[in-house]
Amino acid sequence: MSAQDSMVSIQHLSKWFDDVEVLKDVNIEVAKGEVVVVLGPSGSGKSTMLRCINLLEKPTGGHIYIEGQEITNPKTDINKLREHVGMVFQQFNLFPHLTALKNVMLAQRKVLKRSKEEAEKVARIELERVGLLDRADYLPAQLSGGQQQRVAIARALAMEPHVMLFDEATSALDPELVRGVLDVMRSLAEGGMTMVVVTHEMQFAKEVADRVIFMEGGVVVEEGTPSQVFDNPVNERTKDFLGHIK
Amino acid sequence: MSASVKAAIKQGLFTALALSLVTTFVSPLFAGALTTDVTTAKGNETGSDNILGGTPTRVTWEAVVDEGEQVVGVDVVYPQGSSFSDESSIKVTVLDGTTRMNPENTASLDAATTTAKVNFSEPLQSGLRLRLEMYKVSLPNVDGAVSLNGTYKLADGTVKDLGASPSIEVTYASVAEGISNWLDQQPFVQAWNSVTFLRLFFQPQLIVSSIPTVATGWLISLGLVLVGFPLAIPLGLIAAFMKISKARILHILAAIYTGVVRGTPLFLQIYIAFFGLPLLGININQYVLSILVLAFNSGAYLCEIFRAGIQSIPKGQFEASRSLGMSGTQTMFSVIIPQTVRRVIPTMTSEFILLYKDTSLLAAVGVMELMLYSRSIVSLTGNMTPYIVAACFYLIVTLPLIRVVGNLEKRLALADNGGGAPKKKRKGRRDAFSQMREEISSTTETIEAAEQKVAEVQVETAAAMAGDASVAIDTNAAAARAQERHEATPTDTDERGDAS
Repeated sequence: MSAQDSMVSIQHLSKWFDDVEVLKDVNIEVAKGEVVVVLGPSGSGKSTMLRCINLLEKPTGGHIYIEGQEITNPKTDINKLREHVGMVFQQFNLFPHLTALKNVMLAQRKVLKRSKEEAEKVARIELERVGLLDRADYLPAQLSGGQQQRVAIARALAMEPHVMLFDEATSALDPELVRGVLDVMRSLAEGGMTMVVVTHEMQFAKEVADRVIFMEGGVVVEEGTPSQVFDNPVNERTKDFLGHIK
Repeated sequence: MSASVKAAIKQGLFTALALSLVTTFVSPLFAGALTTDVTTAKGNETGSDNILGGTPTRVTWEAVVDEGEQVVGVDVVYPQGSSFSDESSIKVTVLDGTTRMNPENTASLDAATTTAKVNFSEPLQSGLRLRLEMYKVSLPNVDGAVSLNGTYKLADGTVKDLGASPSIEVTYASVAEGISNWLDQQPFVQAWNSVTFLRLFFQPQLIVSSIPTVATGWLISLGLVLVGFPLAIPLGLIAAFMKISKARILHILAAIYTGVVRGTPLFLQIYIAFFGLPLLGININQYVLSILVLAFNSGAYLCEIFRAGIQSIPKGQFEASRSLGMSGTQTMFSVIIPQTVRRVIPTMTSEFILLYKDTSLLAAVGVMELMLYSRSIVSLTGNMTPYIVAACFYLIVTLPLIRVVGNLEKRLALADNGGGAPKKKRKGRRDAFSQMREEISSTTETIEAAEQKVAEVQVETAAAMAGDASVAIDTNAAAARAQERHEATPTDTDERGDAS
């Protein structure tokens, strides 16, 4: 993979929490337009890896490049970089004091310095994309979990990110609400968005992922196309995990 | 001072006539004049001998007929602003030495000109003392001396002005004092006050008359806290930022501030500020100093409230905000602070209530506020009522605020439970209820109308009984149908009620 094509490049990433090593020499490349799904049991370090990509966790060692720019370099303007890295959280983390529309508008106004009119226009387009334009004036507390998560996705998309990170975006949702969120993610993937998705949704991984990464104990143990990983897992751990899931 | 002198004079008049009669012989008489030597009024203020203006009192006026004069009439004119009422009355006494004479006379009070008119059928001979006692007359409501003027008529028809008369010291009576004095006269008030507890703690007159004074103190207390508290807010906010700051020195400074202020009584802080600063040669206006001390004290509590508020915002809010590219400052002001404000408003309001009550501690260093104003009346009257009035003045601020805090906390709890806009929902539900109730009542009306119709039909039926039997049966059937409908309707109502 050439450097130009690489959207996210993680090299020899390690992360310690006090004296626990949660990531050990992780190397991942994500190409432009690629959808990478990261699987693995709880505590395998997949969320930590994802959070390192936009520096919500500070890596202990290694280098991370986004579009060729090293984010682990202290000189990098991290706020500038985060503009282009959208993140969706397990707990949605919408701003509860703002309506759906204002949630989507806030960062556009503050970070991109868009005018109120422009920010609102973009916000409405993004809310429509996630099918929630009619909920624009609702407060997060008045929306279901699935709707909140879709607003959160719209909020990230409004910043026109170059890559989207999904941190177990559907894990906190009731089963019947998961589909709406996955549909949005699927259509994003189809639209060519670069995505790194940490999830437990195997079906989604099978159908949408260009590449599946299986992590265990802070290490990437298996990597390949969905059919490789799901149908012919090489690693015993992967076999075991997938066996449990099925 | 002058009041007590007058009281003494009055006392003398009451107890011994002789005393005043001595004056008759002793007083150097001005030739050719009816010499007025006494004008007094009875003290009419609750708990003092003061004579309140605009309040009914008894005025005593005395004059001696001079050598060589024969007086047939006197007009005593009250100063402008005086007033007589229907209850006002006059009593005339003529004394010859110690002997009470009863010369024929006509005496009246003219309310229009506020003049007391006395005419005698037989002229009063020189040396006689004329005393007029005028009951329930009101002197002008002013602060200062007022005196009575007028004219007198001699037997030969000449009219002369009355000489200068002693003046009466009148105290201005406020509306409250007016009401208080009115209450003083009321039998139910007297009955109420016959109960020691009620008299000492809930004396109606004192409640009314102390309100203006206590209200002044209330305004001052309120002013102190209304200026002090807003000053405490930025202080607390800065201290809170210092406390959560990563810079160790800032954290330590804030910790010392909050620790010391919260760990010592406000009473002590007031003493140190009020007695310590003057020792250093720093003299600040006591109200300004009060505000500074209150703000300094409250700032420490607000710091902890704000810090707890900021830290109660889930970490995810910071992360979401930062992951959108917002800076720490932007996150703080656009995301964290607005949420914190909603969370801390109930606690802040409680802190405001505490601070408002704590203004009473300033009384200890002589700052005239609510507490000290009420104490001043208590020490004057020896009655607890002003303290009760003070309590009410504290409560009119604190009780509504306590209610506000309760409501805010309830709404906050609802919002935290994901209830969202609870007010709207509840209103909607209430509307549904009232609509339901209207429907039920309108149905009831229909039922009543139906019943009435049934009764009418039955009467007709009875009348027709003798005549056509078939008609009677039909009517009965109609009645039965109406009855059925009657029974069916409430079920309808229930169903409709459920549906809505």
